[in-house]
Amino acid sequence: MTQLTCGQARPLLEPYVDGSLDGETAAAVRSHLAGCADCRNQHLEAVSIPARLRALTAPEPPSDLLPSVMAAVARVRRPRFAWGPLILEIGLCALIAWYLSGLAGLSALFSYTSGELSDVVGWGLGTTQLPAAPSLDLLLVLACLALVTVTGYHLALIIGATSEPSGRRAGQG
Amino acid sequence: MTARWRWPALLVALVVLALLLCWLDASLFERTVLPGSRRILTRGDGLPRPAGFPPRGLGGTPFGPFPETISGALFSLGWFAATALGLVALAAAMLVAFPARARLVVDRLDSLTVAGTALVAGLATVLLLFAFSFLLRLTIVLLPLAGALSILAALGALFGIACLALWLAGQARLRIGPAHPLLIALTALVAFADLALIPFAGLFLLGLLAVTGLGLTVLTRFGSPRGWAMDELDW
Repeated sequence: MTQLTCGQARPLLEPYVDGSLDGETAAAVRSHLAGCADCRNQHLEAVSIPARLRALTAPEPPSDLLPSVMAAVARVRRPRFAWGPLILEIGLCALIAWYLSGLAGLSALFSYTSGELSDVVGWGLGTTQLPAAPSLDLLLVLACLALVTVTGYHLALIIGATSEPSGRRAGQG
Repeated sequence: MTARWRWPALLVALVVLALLLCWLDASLFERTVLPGSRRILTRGDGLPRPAGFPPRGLGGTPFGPFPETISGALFSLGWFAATALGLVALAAAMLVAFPARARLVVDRLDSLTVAGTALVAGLATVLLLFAFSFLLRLTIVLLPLAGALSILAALGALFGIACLALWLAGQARLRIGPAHPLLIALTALVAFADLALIPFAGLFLLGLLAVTGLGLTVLTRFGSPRGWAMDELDW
């Protein structure tokens, strides 16, 4: 039986572990391993890798894997209801416009508001008096409150529906 | 024409078109929309007419006679041109100031559905602002908040218009070829200014662009990378 050096034995370790060497070469490798601690460590390492691989079993997928994958690859959901609340908002605007006698009333309201804003700024600068608060018109206030509520809810719906994929991506990142 | 000169040529053509539209606007404005506007726009009224100026009008133009006084005509022309130039300059300034945010908004603008959703969001925002301003008016002292919100909305609309122009520029770049990004964006902005200068319809088109732009700004939280997600607060 030929004596192997470390340089000859190392390349043969892998086929030796696989059992693909002929009997004489395998015996030579075995003999070398018996006398060489370094190559024996190498051999142990080589033996352990297939053993570890064999010991591996496929992990159980988490129960929510499929739904989460399907949700991640789903088409970006566009809000179909985006236009719906607009009808209510336009209705409220029409009510306000009707109550204020149309565009003339709206432009008068805008004009009053601009004038009052200018007066308030002037009051802040100390040049004018603070204007008197406008008289409370309950129907107008209720209509405006309803419009604020509906438009705020509408915006929240649209933003929630359109920013969901981005939030999901952020969560993945 | 080589690809290098296509964008500058297009820009020049659009600027010339804008000037012609300003001319058309100035001509139509005084004759149809506001017949009494001469009192506002004409600075020469009541002043002695400079020697050599024709007594009435300038004769024929491609779009009809000029207004009665040269000062009024030039003032109207300058008013429209300055407004269009202001729109282009402010929107371009937005792009220069916030390029990364504008790019993020354009990335989100991947289909007409998004544009439609942005239009709805913009309309809802405008209505919200209107109703909220009226409620603030009742408190009087909080009324300046309505003014501040209106300025904020105007800036948001301007940013949105700049983003829409950038999107249009990206589409055109695929057909015409590459050039300096600012040149491309500027060309798209001038195209928008041309739209806004179309007599009568331009105002509505500009309004539509502004509302859609405001909606885009609101939807993307001013081009924030994470939209309305509050992950940054959860550290």
